Amino acid sequence: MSLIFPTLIALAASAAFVVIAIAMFRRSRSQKFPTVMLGDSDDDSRALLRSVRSRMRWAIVISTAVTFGVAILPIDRWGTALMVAPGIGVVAGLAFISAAPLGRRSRWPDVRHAALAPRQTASFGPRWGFLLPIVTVSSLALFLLVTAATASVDSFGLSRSITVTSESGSHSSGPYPGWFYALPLLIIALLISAATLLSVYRIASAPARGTAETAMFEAAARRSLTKFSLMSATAVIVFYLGAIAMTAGTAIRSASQWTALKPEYINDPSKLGTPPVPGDFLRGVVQPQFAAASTEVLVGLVLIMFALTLVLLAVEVALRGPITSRATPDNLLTVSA
Amino acid sequence: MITVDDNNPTPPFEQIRSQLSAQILTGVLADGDRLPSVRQLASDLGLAPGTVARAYSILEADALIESRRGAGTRVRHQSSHPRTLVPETERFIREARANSLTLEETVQIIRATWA
Repeated sequence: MSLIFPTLIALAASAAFVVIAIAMFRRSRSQKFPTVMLGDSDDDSRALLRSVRSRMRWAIVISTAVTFGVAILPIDRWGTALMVAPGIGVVAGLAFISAAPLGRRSRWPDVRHAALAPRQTASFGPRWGFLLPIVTVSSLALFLLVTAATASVDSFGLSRSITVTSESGSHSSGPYPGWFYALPLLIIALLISAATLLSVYRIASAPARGTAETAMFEAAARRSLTKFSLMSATAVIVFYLGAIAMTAGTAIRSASQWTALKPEYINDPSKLGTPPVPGDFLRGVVQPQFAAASTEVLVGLVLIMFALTLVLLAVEVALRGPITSRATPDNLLTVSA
Repeated sequence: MITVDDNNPTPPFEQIRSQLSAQILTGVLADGDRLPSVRQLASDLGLAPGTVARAYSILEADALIESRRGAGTRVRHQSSHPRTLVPETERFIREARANSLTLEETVQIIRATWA
């Protein structure tokens, strides 16, 4: 029964998240995008749009391949490779984006133009878009430090279990994100942060294509790439936060449940039947650890749902690219602003 | 917008300096406006950073811009021209170009109207 309220809270949070996600989708679709006519001879603009879309799609392919490649590495039997795989995958994808965000120029025209508006790292995304990964990385780091500080050593001498003391004694359970898991995850979080920062810096500072006509396409391309990078990085960090919350919650839930023989059997073991029946035992949970752990599991589930939605949004950005619709005549393209 | 033309005999740094100077003096770029970094402008124009840095240092010596480490480069000149004229002038020039008028022909229209 104690699980009903956290479950209701988690369901309400999930429903609220779905409502917000739908609202975001509708808002992005209803925005008025500037429409630009592309002539059939405007190869530069078409090449830029193609290049940006293909770059994001390749980043997804590389991230997925690296994630699966690392996940199946036979490094250890405690799941470390599986744990770091999504982080290394997204770092690889972001590194690919950073290499040449807008592609490389095939030729420089004799007459070249440059806008006088300074481009900065934060120029091509909303403030919340930059704030979200910072907040989630900080939350992940704080969460890992707390779990690492509360962890205990398991039978292999590794900091990967949790011990809860109850009236019937101490109970340990794992896997729990102690230092054994927290340290590699902190390094991965640091790597993701650095790769994201490098990616958005490179997107903003990539040289312009040099024609006044492509300026609007370029700005849209930079915004798409920035959105893609920030969403991918945030998705993986939120996924880690959710997975760690679920793992920690499950371990604490398990450790905070205890089973002990009834006192009369301890005093006189001969009364104990063979085999013992469930009625011979006393069962209990340690509160508030059990309730907190149950809530942690549910919050973890909600965070994983949030992460998966962000992944879908990032894939949608990659598939759509800077173009939101293709209208007739064939040379009319709509570019997101 | 800044334009560099490789076919122009004027050196690129001078093309940049003269265009920036004109935009500052006519109020297109207002006092306090931030300019792109040397690296950004150089990469966008396909020039060496030293070329843009040279144009910026001349403009700084002319007291038209000011560069501060960490704060970037900003325009430091109060134009005597009212800024409201700029969009009107741009609209007029666009109209003249749309009608295939040359600069001389456009100036002639202004002179005639002025009188």
